[in-house]
Formats: sequence, structure tokens, C-alpha cells
Amino acid sequence: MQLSTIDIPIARKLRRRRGRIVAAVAGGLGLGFAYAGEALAQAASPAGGIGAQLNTMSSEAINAGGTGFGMACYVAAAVCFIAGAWALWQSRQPQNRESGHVGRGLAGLVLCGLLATAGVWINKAAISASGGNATINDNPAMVQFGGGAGGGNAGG
Amino acid sequence: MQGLVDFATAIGDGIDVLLPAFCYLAACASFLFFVWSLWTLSSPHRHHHHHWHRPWVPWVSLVLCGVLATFPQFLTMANVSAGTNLAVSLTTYAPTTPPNADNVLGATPGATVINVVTLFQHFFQAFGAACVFWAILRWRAIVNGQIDGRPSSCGVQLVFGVLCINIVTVATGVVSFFETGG
Repeated sequence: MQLSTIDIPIARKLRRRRGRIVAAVAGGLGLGFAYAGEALAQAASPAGGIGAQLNTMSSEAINAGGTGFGMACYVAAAVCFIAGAWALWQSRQPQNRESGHVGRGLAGLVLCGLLATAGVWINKAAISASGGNATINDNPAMVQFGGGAGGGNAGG
Repeated sequence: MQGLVDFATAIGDGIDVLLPAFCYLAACASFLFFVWSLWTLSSPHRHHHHHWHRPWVPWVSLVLCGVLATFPQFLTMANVSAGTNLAVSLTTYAPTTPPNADNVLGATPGATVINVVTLFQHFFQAFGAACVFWAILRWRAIVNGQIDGRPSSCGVQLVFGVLCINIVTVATGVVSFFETGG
């Protein structure tokens, strides 16, 4: 009990000091950024800047994601085909005649085809959604507004 | 000031580069979700499926897969709706040259505001596109019941993103409203 009465003022002091330390660190960082602006100003549009590094990283992510997507489609198509055929087989068993196995079998075969031609169907979805072929693909790219080159604004 | 402009432009470049990759991955994931949801919904025990009462969930993902696969066209359509007709497209990566921050002070305070907004236009545009992308993903998650929230909030986020993309037009309009009183 005694400790608690002593600890509370100490804790308050520590909290106050911590607040000052945070403020000092924040101020120092702010000054640092302000000063760093001078250094950044000398290196306008560097070839090895943030964009270049993220471009490398995004191209790796696209490669990995695209490979994973292809593998997932392949495995899922196989699962749908085998399970669909199995469901159709099961639908002929007397105990399963009215339990929806025919529908599952047909769905499996259709979805197998969908997965085997995933890119075609994504493109069809793209045409339905935005009126044009899919432009996002497995090539790393950069979004460009207006004419590009400095972010021009056609409307501005 | 020039350093801040350079830094903001570099961050904008980073967002511009990451967005197509995120769109690609999200479109692939949405398509897989669509197919796999249909497959699980075809089960004879589909009454226990958590999307049983929302059969539109897989189809929403298919449509959004298409939207994500044509994200620049979608942004272009949104800009047409916003009235600026700003075309958005894809290109190979090239570092954007930051605008010159000298002579930022204009003849009037309004002109100075427009000058400052124009300096950071590239970042605003990239950030706005990211907002639109995030609004689409949030809306899909709300429709799927994965997160709580109102779909209308995603609409607000989308409009905010489109306004950011057309920030110079918006800023010019606001300044001119205050200068001339509408």
C-alpha cells in the first residue's frame, strides 16, 4: 500500500518526462525532415528512387501471385472435375436420387471449364464491367493520369 | 519546399506502381472466390453455407474482378462522370519529374493555393486512385459480410478519391467560388 502512494507521483513525473521526450523527438524529426528536404531537392527524379524499388517489388509480387493463381486454378479445376464426376456417379445411387447430386455434378463440370479458361472469363467480366478488354495483366505497369509526364490534368 | 515536392512525387510514383499489382492480385483472388463460392453453393448441403441467403455474393466478386482488371478504364469513366474527362491509362515505369517549386507565390492568395495544389497534384492523383481501389475492396468485403460497415460509406470514399484525382479542377473551382462568390 505504501508503495502505491509513492509510485503515483513518480509515475506522473515519468509520464510528463515521457511527453517531453516525445515532443523533443518529434521536433527533432521535423527539423530533420526539413533539412533533408535540401538533400532530396538535389536528387530530383532519381532512377533508383522509391518508385523504381516498388516497381521491382511489385513485379515480383505479380510473378508470384500469377504463378499461384495459375496453380490454384489448375488444382481447383481438377477438384471440380473429379468431384463433379463423383457427384454424378453418386446421383445414380438409389439413396441419393433426390439430394442435389446432379446439380453438383453439373456445376463441377461447368466450373472446371471456367477455371481452365480463367483468363478468358476475367476478360469477359472486364468487358461487362468497364466496356473494354482487361488492361491489368502480369506485366508490371504504372498508372498514368492524363498525358503523364509530371501528372498532367486534362481537366485542370 | 522542393524537397517536399520531390518526396511527395516519389511517394506518388510508388503508389502508381503498386496499384496495378494490387489490382492484378485482387482480380485473381476475386475470380477464385467467385468460382469456389459457386462450387460450395452447389453442395447438396448448401443450406448450411454462410452465403446461402445471399446468392449474389459470388457474382458481385465476378463483376468486381472485371472492374479491377480494367481499373484504369474504371477511373476514366469515373472522371467522365466527374466532368473532367481525365484519361487514366497504364504505362511502363518511368520516374516522374517533380515540378519546380520556385515561384510558388502567385499574384493573389488564390493563385498561390492553386500553385501549391498543382505542385502536389501527382501525389493527390495517386492517392485518389488508391482511395478508389480501397473503396472497391471495402464494398466487396461489406457485401460478403466479412466486415461491418455501410456500403454508402464506400460511395463517399469513392467520390473523395475521384475528387483527389481531379484535385486541380476542384481547387480551381473552390478558389473561383470564393473569389467571385459563385
